[in-house]
Amino acid sequence: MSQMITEINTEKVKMFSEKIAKIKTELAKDVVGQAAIIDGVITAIVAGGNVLLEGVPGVGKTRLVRSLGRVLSLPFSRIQFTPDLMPSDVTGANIVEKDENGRLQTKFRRGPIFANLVLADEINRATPKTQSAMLEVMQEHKVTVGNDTYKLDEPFFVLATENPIEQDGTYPLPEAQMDRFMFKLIVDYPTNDELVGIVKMTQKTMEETAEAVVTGEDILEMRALASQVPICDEVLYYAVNIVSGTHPASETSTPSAKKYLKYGASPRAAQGLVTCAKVRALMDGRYNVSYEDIEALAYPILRHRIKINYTAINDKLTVDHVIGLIVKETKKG
Amino acid sequence: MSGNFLKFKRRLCVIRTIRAGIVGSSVGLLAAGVWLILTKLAVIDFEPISSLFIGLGLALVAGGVLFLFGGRSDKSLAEELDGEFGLKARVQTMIAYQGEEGELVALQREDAEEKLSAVSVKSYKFKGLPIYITVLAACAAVLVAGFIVPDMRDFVPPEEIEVFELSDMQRAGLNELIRYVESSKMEEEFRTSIADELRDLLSRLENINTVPDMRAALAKSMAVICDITYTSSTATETLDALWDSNNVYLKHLAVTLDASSWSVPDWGDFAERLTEYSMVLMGDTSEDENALVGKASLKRALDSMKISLDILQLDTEDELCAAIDKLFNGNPGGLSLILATIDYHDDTTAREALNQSLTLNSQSLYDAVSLNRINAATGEYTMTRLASLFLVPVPEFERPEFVRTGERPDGGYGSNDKEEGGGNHNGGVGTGATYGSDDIVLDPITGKPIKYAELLDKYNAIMNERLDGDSYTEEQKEAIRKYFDLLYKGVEKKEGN
Repeated sequence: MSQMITEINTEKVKMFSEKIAKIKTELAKDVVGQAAIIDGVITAIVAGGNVLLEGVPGVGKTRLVRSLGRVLSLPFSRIQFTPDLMPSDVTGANIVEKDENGRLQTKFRRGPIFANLVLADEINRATPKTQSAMLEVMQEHKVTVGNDTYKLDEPFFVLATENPIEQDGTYPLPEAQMDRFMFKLIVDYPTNDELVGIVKMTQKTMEETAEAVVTGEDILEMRALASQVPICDEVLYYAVNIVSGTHPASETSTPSAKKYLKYGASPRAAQGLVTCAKVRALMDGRYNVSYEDIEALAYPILRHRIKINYTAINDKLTVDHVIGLIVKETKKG
Repeated sequence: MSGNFLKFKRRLCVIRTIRAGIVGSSVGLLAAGVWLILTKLAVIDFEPISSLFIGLGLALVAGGVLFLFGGRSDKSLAEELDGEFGLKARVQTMIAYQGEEGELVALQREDAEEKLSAVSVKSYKFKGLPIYITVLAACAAVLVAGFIVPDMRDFVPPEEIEVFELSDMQRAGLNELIRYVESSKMEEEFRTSIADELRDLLSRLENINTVPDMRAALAKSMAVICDITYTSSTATETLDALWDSNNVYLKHLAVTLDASSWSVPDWGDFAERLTEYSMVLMGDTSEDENALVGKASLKRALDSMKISLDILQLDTEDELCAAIDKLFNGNPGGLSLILATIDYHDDTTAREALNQSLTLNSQSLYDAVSLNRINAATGEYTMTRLASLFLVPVPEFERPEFVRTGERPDGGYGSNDKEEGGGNHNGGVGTGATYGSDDIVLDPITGKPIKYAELLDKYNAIMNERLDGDSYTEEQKEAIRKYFDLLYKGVEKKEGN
């Protein structure tokens, strides 16, 4: 019996790996390079988290998300955030219309948020009011309009983008909303070789050619499988210590956190870190979470959840530098 | 439990045993070595063989403790294996989830086993083995050192030899002492001998560079000076004085006292004089009766002459009687003459003649005795000065009995001043002597009696005059002044008694 269970599990893992490979292969058709970003996005999606993509214009953020939507066979919607965007433009609103009998009735018209994969483009351009409309959606995957609550279909992801250059007319996301993003991935400018590839590809066609290879159910299965990846207590405590070490006022904080941080990460960071580490382990063909998984994921998990102080700015340290110091100062075991 | 993991556990056990053995041995060797060194150097009072038991005991304890408590948990071993062989927490997770079931737990276990089986057990090495071996070797070296270290338990360290160099002050002091001796009233023969000895001493001290050698040279010179002093102050002069007194009775006494060694060139004249006196003083007495009467009469006569028994080198009346007996046995005629001259019936004529004769000769007697005293005092002073210059103790030396006797300023021969408790009045600085300001001492330079306070003032003046120069350092001057202060205080203390 256990032999059979083992065989089944092996098959599941094999399928997991195959699907991940397929997703990457398809995405590579539309997105040149950015392997780390793709891995990050896939990890977050399998883990069930939202992703914030930060990058200069033209690096392929929107293209990636659109291609991802096609590959995952998930209903996709794109919301372009502008300063005049209203919350109801995102969530939907109740409208009054006539029924077949000609009587007036109130009907809820769903907004673009009602999709499985939502691209929130330039999310920092919307007003705080509109941004707050995303909070409930991103965390609880439901929309409340008036007295009615509408659940969103699973799997549900929000992939948001923001431009780090433009500061005029933007509204920085509140910490509460930032905490709802599992990852913050920095989309760098492509290398020369990657740019050559981009140019060559787009010379042929600008259309995305990636095809659907997995479904939403597949993603949910993969998520369920990943959640079963064992993690030993030493690695678990390591992850927790890294997160708790980011709080400068805490007695468990590291020296660098005390010196360079204004505030640290929430418990969601620890949850996200462990969840994503399990996915990463499985994607790497392993059946357990390792210290390396935690260290690698500490950056996308923490960089939007902590804030550096003037001392770090004065010392010309970025958030990633400080995260690196904290990871180094955290003891294993 | 994973089979592969068990292999590593067994390997760890072997390594642990070896480590315990090495550490235990190191501790034992070190302890034994240190203990052995300490016993051999007599730092601790144990036999060297005890180091064997100390080393063995500590080796067993250290090794045992390390083996029992130096073990590692499965978690710890798993962590080490993961880290060392890059297994990415596989073994740790396997150990953490052993006994559990789950979809992926079994897969994880298999995966961990597979990866672990690819690692050779032998590749799990004894970390830091070279360091352990080095420490073991170092501890063994300590034990070897313990065997090499010589056994110092019976070692008596040589005395630290103090360095000696004749200082300017000492040199000047010696030269001054030589001048003092040469200018003193000591008899020339002895004066020259002492001065020569001092010069010889000075030249020897110039080449001596250790304190023991210095003390040996000083002791030798002091012994020589002591002998000279003793010789210079014997009773020879006194006896000569008695003989030169032209008094037949005193001559007889001189002969009696030293009849065996004394030459008598004028014996012929003496006999004639005896005959003359016998004609005058001869009485009509029987031989036997006269013998008994003679002894007593002779004693009375001597007493009436006020000749101190000490001066004559005779301590007791018994010795005097023995001398008379000798004379009686040796020369009956001589004794009869002496007896005939003394009339226990109070022949004042004879007594007056004897008294007159002794009075005439008292000065020569006094001179002889005084000369002996000057000789003795000079010799004493020389040795005392040497002792103070070189900070060595003044040796005990024999003094003739008469030298100890005090003399009154009026020149008379007083009774034994020792009974009066007057101390040493010869002018020398004797051991244990203290002086009051009015005590009479002999001036070592002039040889004349002088009150101690005046002598002290005299020397104090000389001292101040000499110290005005640059011959002495400030420290030396201060030490000398302090010494004189003590002397003055001693004088005050004596008077205060």
